[in-house]
Amino acid sequence: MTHEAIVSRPLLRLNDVRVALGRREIVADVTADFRAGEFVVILGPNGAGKSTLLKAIAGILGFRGKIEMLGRPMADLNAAERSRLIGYLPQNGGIHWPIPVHDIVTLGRMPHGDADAAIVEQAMTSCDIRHLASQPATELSGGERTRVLLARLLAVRASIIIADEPVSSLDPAHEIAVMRLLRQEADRGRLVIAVLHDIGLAHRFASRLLALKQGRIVADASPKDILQGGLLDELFGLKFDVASTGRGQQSLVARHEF
Amino acid sequence: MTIQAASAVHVRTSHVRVLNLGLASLLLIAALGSVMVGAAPLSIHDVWEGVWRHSGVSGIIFWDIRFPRLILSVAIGGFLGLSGAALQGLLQNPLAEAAVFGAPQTAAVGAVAVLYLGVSDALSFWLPLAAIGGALLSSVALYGLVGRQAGSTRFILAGLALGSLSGALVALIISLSPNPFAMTEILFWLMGSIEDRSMRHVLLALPFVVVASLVLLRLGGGYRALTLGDDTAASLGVDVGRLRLSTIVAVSVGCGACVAVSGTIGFIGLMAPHLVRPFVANDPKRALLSSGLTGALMLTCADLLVRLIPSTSEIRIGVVTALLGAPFFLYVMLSDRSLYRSEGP
Repeated sequence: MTHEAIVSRPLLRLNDVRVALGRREIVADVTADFRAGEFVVILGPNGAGKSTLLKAIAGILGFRGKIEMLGRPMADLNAAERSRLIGYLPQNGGIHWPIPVHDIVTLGRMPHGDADAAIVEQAMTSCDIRHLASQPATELSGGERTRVLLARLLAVRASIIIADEPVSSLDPAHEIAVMRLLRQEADRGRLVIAVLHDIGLAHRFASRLLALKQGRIVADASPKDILQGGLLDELFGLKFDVASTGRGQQSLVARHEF
Repeated sequence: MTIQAASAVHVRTSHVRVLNLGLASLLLIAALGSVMVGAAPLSIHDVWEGVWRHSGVSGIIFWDIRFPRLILSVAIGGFLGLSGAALQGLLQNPLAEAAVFGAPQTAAVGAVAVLYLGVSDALSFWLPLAAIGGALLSSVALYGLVGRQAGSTRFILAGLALGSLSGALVALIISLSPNPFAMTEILFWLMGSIEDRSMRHVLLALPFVVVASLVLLRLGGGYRALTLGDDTAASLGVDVGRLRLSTIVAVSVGCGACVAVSGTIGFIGLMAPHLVRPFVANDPKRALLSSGLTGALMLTCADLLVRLIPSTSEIRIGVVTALLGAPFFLYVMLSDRSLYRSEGP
């Protein structure tokens, strides 16, 4: 296979993916291809099926349809192969025992069966938590805990990074640091898929936006194109204005009135 | 890795080794005490002689009375500690122990039914078999009720229901017991004891306890991953449903075997993991072996204590573990509040 063929081949392919919880279909007919190097942000109102879709991709929830990774159906991958290929950060991830931060990050090496000290250290440095290494993880602030869990995710060194609301409990400085970090991971050739509620951050850092409503993809476009045609207004039932930051960047502002 | 971080991990690993070696050494000392102390005290010389001679007073006391009792206290205490640590790791809950799944209670129903029917004297192997059968039935019922994919809360609720039902059945059997002797026998058995147990009891319980312990010791990595919740553990390659099934079956089998020969002994499964957790950096995997050794040490010491306390008849070991365990557990709980501040979603 030529280099071009490998690069252009989708890293992740979803074909008519449907996920039901009980009798209720949460994700319906999702079809999309994702390539290495993309930073995809999934947007949508609460209950749109964003987290459910991420769980199906991570192999945590059963689904109908087809999910392929590097051309191989997910069903053909065993749990160990899948866990090395996909790193998953759940929404509001908890830590149940006061285990030292370093040990939590080292859990990211579990799929590889090692405790590679250099990788763990690098992940902690990237997330600015080296000074917390010996702290019990349950005694951290919400923001620190999020960064610890993110470092655990990075320590997997997976080709596909899936993060469900990774900046939900962070202050603005750490929000931007985490978004930069995810962008960097995509630039290194990984596929990053994140669910975000902050449309401004999504617009600024993502390379592709996927809008989900009632379990279906209603838009799949670049951040620039998604501003057109009032798509976001329709998605969230709000009016959005595009504001210029004065440094050549655009920002989205939601109006108070509906 | 920074030198400090690397050395911290190294120190922690070596701390755990030192802890386990220390516990094993204390257990050896307690074991020696256990074979020496009793109604007929033996000196170290007598014990040594007894080990190599199966005849004579010291040989009979060692092989027929003290040694089976020692093996049972180590095996049962060890399994209670280990299973407590495993269940706390599985459920990410510091209050979990075998009773949460109803295993000891259902084992007790089987055993009490045999005592009620009065066949335990004539056919003494019936009692342990009934207890193991009862515990196995509880794991089958638990799985039948909640299914493989159910979350921890459903397991706990179903386990509590099974435990309550079993408690009610035991009470029913006691209230229907034909004569006061049968009732007394049942009540005394329920209090827990390893007095007057023979090598036959050891051979009946030990294979189940050893196999169940080996299974639980192999599951430590899964419990460690569950620290981050079911979803993250699954994304790290852990089959959470299988981990639950393996744990519940192993705990039921081991617990059934323990209850079969000793009756119900409380608090060790709860206390042993709490005692070791600060020394293993709260790691659910590292806590397993250390909790097992601590449980073995606790029950062996409790068994020594019941022989040393002067009384007309020997005090039941289950009573001692509960009497000492409950206040001590409250002390540990109140002095280490950080454990009860877990950050769940």
